[in-house]
Amino acid sequence: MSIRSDIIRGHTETIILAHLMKGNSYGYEINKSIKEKTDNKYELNDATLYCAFRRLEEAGYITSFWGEGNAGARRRYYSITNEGIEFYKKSIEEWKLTKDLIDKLI
Amino acid sequence: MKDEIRKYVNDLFKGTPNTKKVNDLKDEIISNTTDKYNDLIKNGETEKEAYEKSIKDIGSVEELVDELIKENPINKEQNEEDRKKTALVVSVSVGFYILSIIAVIVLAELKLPDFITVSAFLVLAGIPTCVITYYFMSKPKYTKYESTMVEEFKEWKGQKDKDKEIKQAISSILWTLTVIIYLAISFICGIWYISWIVFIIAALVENIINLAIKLRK
Repeated sequence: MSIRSDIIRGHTETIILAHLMKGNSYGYEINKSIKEKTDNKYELNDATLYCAFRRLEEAGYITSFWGEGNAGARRRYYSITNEGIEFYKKSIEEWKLTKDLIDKLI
Repeated sequence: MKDEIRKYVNDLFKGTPNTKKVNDLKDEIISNTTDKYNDLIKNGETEKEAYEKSIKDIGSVEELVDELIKENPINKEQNEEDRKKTALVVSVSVGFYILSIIAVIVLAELKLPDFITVSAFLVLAGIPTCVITYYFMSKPKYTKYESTMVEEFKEWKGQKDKDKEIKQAISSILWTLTVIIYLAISFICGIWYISWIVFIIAALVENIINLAIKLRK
C-alpha cells in the first residue's frame, strides 16, 4: 500500500515535536525513528525535514544547540520548548477531532 | 568516503553567501548524511552503495539552499548602510583636510602670526584624523554568536585583521603628527636645516610600536 504523503506532510511538524517530546534529538535520528515506526513505509525527505526544523525554530517551538558528532563533525540537536509542548498538545487534539470526523464521513 | 560527503555538500553550497545560517545548515547536512552513511555501512552495504544512497537525498535540499540565498537581502541592506556611513565619514574628513590647507594659505596671506596659522592647521587637520581613526577602529568586524569551533576560527581571523587595522591606524596618526610637528617647529623656530630629523625619529617610533604589538602576543 502506498502512502498518501500529502496527507502526512501537513503533520510533519507534529511528528517532529512528538519525537522531541521524548528527549533531545537530531535530524538523522528523528528520520530514522520515523522510518522504523512505520516499518519503512514512510520517510521524510531531507528538504522537508530541514524546512520543518527552520519553521519550528522560527516559531519558537524548538531550540537548537550544537553537540559532538562522530568524526569531529558537530551535530545539531533540537529540544522542544514549553510553547512547543503546548502546540503539540493542541495539534493532537485537532488531529483527534479530524480523525473522528473523517471516520464518520468515509 | 566521509570526506567525499563533505566535499559533495560543500560543492552544493558553492556560491552561497558565507553567513552563519548557511554554514549551520551545511554542517547539519554533513553530520546527518555521515550518520546515514555509517548506518548503511553497518548494514553491510559497500562504500560506493552507501555513499550513493546517502547523497541521493541531499539533492532535494537545493530548494532550501536557494531559499537561504534569498534571505540575504537583509544583510545586503546592512552593508549598504555601512557603506553610506563610511562614505560620509571619509568625505567629511577629506573636506576638513582641504579646508586646513586653505586656512594656511588664507591666514598666511593675512600676515597673521605664524603660530596662529599653524594652530589653525593643526586643529583642522587633527579633527578628521581623529574621526577617521575612531570610526574605523570602532567598526565591528565580526560579532561572535556562539562558541563553536567554526565561530572561534572566524573570530580569530577577524582578530588578526583587527591587529592589522590598528597597526595601520597608528601608522597614519604617527605620520600625520610627524608632518604637523615638522611644519610647526620649522615655522615657529625657523630651524628648517635640522627639523627634518623628526621624520627619522618617526620611522624609529613606528618600528618600536610594531615591535611592541608583536611582543604583546
